[in-house]
Amino acid sequence: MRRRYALAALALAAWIAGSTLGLTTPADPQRASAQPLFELGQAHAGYVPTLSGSDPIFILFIGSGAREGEDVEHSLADSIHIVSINPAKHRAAILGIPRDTWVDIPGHGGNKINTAMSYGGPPLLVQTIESLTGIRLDYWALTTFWGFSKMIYNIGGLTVDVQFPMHDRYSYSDFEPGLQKLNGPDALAFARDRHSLPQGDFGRSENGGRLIVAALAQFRKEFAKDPSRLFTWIAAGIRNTQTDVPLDEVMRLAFTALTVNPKYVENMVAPGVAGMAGDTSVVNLTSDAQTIFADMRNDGLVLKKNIPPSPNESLLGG
Amino acid sequence: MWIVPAVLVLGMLVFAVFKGLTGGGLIGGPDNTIPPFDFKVTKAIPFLVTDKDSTQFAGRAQEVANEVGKTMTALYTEAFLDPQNWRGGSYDDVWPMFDDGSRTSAAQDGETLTLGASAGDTYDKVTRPRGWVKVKVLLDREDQPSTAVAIVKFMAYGTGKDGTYTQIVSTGQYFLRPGGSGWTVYAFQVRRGDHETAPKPGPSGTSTEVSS
Repeated sequence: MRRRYALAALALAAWIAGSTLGLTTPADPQRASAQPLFELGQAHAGYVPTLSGSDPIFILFIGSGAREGEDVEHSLADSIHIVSINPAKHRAAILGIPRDTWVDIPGHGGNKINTAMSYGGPPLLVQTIESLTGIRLDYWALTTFWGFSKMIYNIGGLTVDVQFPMHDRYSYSDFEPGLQKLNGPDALAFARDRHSLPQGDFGRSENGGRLIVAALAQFRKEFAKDPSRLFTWIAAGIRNTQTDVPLDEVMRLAFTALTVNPKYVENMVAPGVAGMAGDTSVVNLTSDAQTIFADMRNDGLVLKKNIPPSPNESLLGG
Repeated sequence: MWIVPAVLVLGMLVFAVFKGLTGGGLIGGPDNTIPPFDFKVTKAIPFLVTDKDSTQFAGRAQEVANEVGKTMTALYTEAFLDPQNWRGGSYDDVWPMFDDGSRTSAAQDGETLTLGASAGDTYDKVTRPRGWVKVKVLLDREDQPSTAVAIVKFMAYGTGKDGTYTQIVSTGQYFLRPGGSGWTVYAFQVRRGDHETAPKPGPSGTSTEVSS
């Protein structure tokens, strides 16, 4: 009897011990190595707060022609681009407006569009463009020659596909065709060069848009690799621009930009013809420009049939 | 007759020792003890939108990093370590750490952001959590922390009910904003790289631990 109790007790103890040991003892002791046995697979979770809805967002990008020491916001606008994003369609459009475009400036009469900013700062330029295009601009952002150059430096350079040779002693552009990483001064030279281009300021305006597309492509690539690079871009952007976009909105716009494939960004320049206003040479926009404005107003995008030929077409071999 | 109580005592002793070693409950039953865990803040980097010297804001960035580190510790504790959550496959305490905009997406990505709905069927216990977080802080035009990104690496070991061992690995980045009740996640990019691993032989040759 005593022996039976003893065996039962031992069995109980062994079972309890076994139950608990079983939690940590490997089923197969031969697998006791430090090597991973197999990957269970990489699962991914992601969310970014983007703007949604079918309403397009219109932002005016302005390059001030001010030299250092001058009033940046009350100088001639050297470059003018409307960037529209259609969040629902994940597409965007860039429309350059030639700086010599003859327009009616509210309160100041007829003049070149680039003078609007010198009269009334970015708000008057916004008003002038809204009046010209019928497009309601949501935000504006203004940079300078040196601000632009510093911005490119702050993001560590910008990779651009230079499509044709550009050599110009005025802007200091000196490029052979090909994909290349531009530093700040090089990117500025690329943006400013008009003498290498057959249609001068029209071609330059298109190149400005190409820099924006290149920046989008690079931003998406860098974000995919390291999302925290967003802060580098945001800091570089805001530090080197004047803008009426609140920081939270800049973040949301940046997240929204991530959803736009650069392949689906149409880059164009409002078509116009050279003319004279008194003894001043100006650009008179054509009816095709009005068609583009009307098209863009709807959803921020421009139908293929309304997209004008590239002003740099002859250099592209097209 | 003396042998009966002696063996019973011995049995209880053996049970107690192994219970203590394994963290298991009564006869393999659930033990809801949460393993101690804190993210180690490895770096705090300020990002300025003004031209001021960023080194002036290193201290502020460190403060934010410590706060964000605590938020991430709370998030990962609820998502991976609290047995009451993963045994029941319910992570209701995790989602309030995400803001209104991201909460639904986070819950839909629950299998990646937590130990998973069926973790209770897979694991007996989760042990040895470790985590590192690098925090970047974006200061606004008034030099106030506006948003932060937590770059995390988290690892723990899951002991499977089938006797296998899994290294649980979560890496990614969480964007957070300050709110009334601390920092809240509003965007995230997170990967899981769990892999089955083998236990590390103990000093006596018995296999009681797992290794990476």
